Order: sequence, then structure tokens, then C-alpha cells
Amino acid sequence: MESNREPAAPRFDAADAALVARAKAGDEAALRTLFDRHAPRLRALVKRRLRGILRRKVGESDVVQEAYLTAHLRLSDFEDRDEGSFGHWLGQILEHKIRDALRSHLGAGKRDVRQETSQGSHRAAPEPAGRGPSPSLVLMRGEERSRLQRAMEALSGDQRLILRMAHDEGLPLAEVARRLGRNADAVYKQYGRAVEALTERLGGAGGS
Amino acid sequence: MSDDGRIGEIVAAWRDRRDRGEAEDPEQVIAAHPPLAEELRRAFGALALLDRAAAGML
Repeated sequence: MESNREPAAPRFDAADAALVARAKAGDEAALRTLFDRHAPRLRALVKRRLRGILRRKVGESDVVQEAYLTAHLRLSDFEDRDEGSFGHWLGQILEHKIRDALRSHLGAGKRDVRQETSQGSHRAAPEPAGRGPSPSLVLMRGEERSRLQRAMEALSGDQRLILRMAHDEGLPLAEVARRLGRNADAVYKQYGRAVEALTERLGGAGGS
Repeated sequence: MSDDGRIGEIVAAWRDRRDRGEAEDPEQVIAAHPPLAEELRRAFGALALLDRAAAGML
């Protein structure tokens, strides 16, 4: 049914608008439905923008997941002004994430040297002498990073979301609860479970 | 493996206190729960890893 391969923003959709309103009121199921509706377009966008090995490295689902997280966090700022604006807005967020991911993987970003070394492919760009961490430290960090990524991928989307909000975004748990429209006690429990799950996954990965 | 959910509870409570401005060293939490010390240490290690990744230190 999705003949539209172009990830252009869809035309105004009453269902979208209703879902946005519900999601802004804290209805998480509505937000999920909203994301699901746009998922094929977003994935098509990632496929178009990232090709081959780069796509595997950057991780299609990671980028989309990051975009969801940001959209989730900023939903209250979003205003449904124009036709198809939610789809457009979401697409813009994703574009931004893709650019960030590309920058970090192509070495123009501020924290660029890490992933490749752990995967055995050497970067062509030499590290400037006397700057940055030593190659062995980079390797170690790359391994840790991969281990963390694998462990995070093994969690449920909800667990990942909470951990990212609490750690990547540095939000207090009470604020995480508020943004997700959930009860604070529930979020404390979910956070605790997520930490346990992550710890278990990390432990099982044969860490030091 | 045992104490299902207990580690999460302790860590979440610690995080909540930290959110409220009570800076408490994880070592204090670990010391307060000797039977769970090893598991708690691993859990705090996982959080430290997350924080280092978030800070761009990985």
C-alpha cells in the first residue's frame, strides 16, 4: 500500500492531527501509533540517505529511534500549523539525526574516532599527531561502545527510551515521567528494570 | 539472579535522590547493602558506561 517511496511529508491527515493532539495530552499509545504511521517513510528516508556499509555502521533503526526520542521530548513544542506538518517536522528531526550520525562516522564530528577501529576497518584519515586519545585507548573505547550498543539493542524500546532520556538527555526521572505522561512511581520502577536489564546484558557480553 | 527487582529499586531510589540534589556516592549505596554489593557494583558500572557514552567519552 505504500507506493510512495519518496519520504516527502504526507498531506494533511486528520487522523495524524487527532493523534498529535492525544499524544500531546500524554496519550502514549497515540504517540506510538503516530510513529508507526510514519515509520515506513522514515525508514525510506534513512535508506536513501545512508548507503551500503555506512548504513550498517550508523544503524538504520538507531537513527530512527533517536529521531523518535527527540520528537517525543519536543512534542510539546510542536505546533500543527501547516498541512502535513507533523510528517514534515518528524522528517526534519530525522534528517538532523542522519547528519549527526554521518558527521560522527565520517570524522568531521567532535567524537569521531571510535567505532571503526573496533570493527576492524581502518580509517583513511590520520589522527593529528599529539591530539586525541592514543590508538589503544580508542580501540578500548570502541569496544566498550559496541558492547554498550549491543546491550542497549537487546532492551525493549521502552527501556531504551527511559535510559536515553535519563542519561543521554540527563533528565530527572520525575521529568521523564512528566514527558511520557506517566506516573512517577511507574517510571522509577521501569528505570530500575531497565538498569537491571542493561546490567545483565553487559555482564553477558564478556566484559572485563 | 536472586533479589529480582531489588537492585533496580535501590538504583532508582539513588537516582531519585540524586535528581533532588543529594549527591550520594554509589560506593555508599553499595556499602549499605553488603549482600547485594557485587550486583550493585555492576549496575552502577552500567550507569557509568551510559554516562560516559552520553558525554562522548566512549
